[in-house]
Amino acid sequence: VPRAGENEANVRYVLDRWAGVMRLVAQPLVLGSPGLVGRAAGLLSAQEAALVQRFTPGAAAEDSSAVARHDTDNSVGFFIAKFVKTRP
Amino acid sequence: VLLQSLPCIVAAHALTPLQPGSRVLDMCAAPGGKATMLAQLMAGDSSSELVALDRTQAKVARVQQLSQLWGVQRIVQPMAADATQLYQPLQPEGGRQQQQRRQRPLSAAVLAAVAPESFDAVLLDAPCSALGLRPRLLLDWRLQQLQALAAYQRALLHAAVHVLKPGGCLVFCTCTINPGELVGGAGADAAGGSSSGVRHAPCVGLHVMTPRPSAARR
Repeated sequence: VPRAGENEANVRYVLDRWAGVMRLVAQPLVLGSPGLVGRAAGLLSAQEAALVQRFTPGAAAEDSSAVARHDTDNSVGFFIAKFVKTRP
Repeated sequence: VLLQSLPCIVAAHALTPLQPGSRVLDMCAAPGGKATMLAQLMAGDSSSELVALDRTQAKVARVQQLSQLWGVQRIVQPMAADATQLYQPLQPEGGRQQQQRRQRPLSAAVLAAVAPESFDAVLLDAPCSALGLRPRLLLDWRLQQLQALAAYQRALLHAAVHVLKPGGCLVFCTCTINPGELVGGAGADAAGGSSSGVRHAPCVGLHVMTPRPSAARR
């Protein structure tokens, strides 16, 4: 199946393609909510998802408990991941 | 004052802290909001340098203008280049669009500025489906286009890893909310993850407004 995935799907790609080289790391400023979890769907583990940030407009209307808590509803949609290259 | 979306500021901050003398690459810099903000964060240190690439001369000119406006033209080096070409051997599943882009060779100046493993930090604010931008009156994306975009982003990621020094950091960001739910959303739920399914909002509909000139005149 060709992958249409941006964001989490491409983070998965980096982690798999450069396993042991590219590592997800925590970000200095966190205002977004965690990424989407779903290893079977080619997305992230819960641990990995906690290291990326997602801003999802409209999410609060759908899921007031999980996403609205982070108050990302009043912004554009956005996604941020930070990696460190650990070796050549 | 330069207004930026909050997440853009968070993304620029994600590259910090930068050591003195750092070399930073912004792979898709135009119009230059994040690059100039980063340059201002680095401005106390004249030995730092930020190479700002974008695909066309017109986009590079915009980065140049913004750099001058913010007085960071000594740090920011805007250059025209398709950043996917920084890593040549790759032949990703990209389609025709990508092969056309491939034909523009890098200039000697770009090749000199962007050597393998030469950057302490790389910002990849990738061209994306921009499904997160609001307000949006019309969305006209096809699955195939989304797939080509995701592949283009992976080509950019290859280039980013290629030019990054060991120990350096890469910040990858987009202004879209698409995680691949178009092909894998159901799987995400089945795997016990958070929901990525798109639900329908109630349709508000159109309401006919009748102009009342007499009321306006009063």
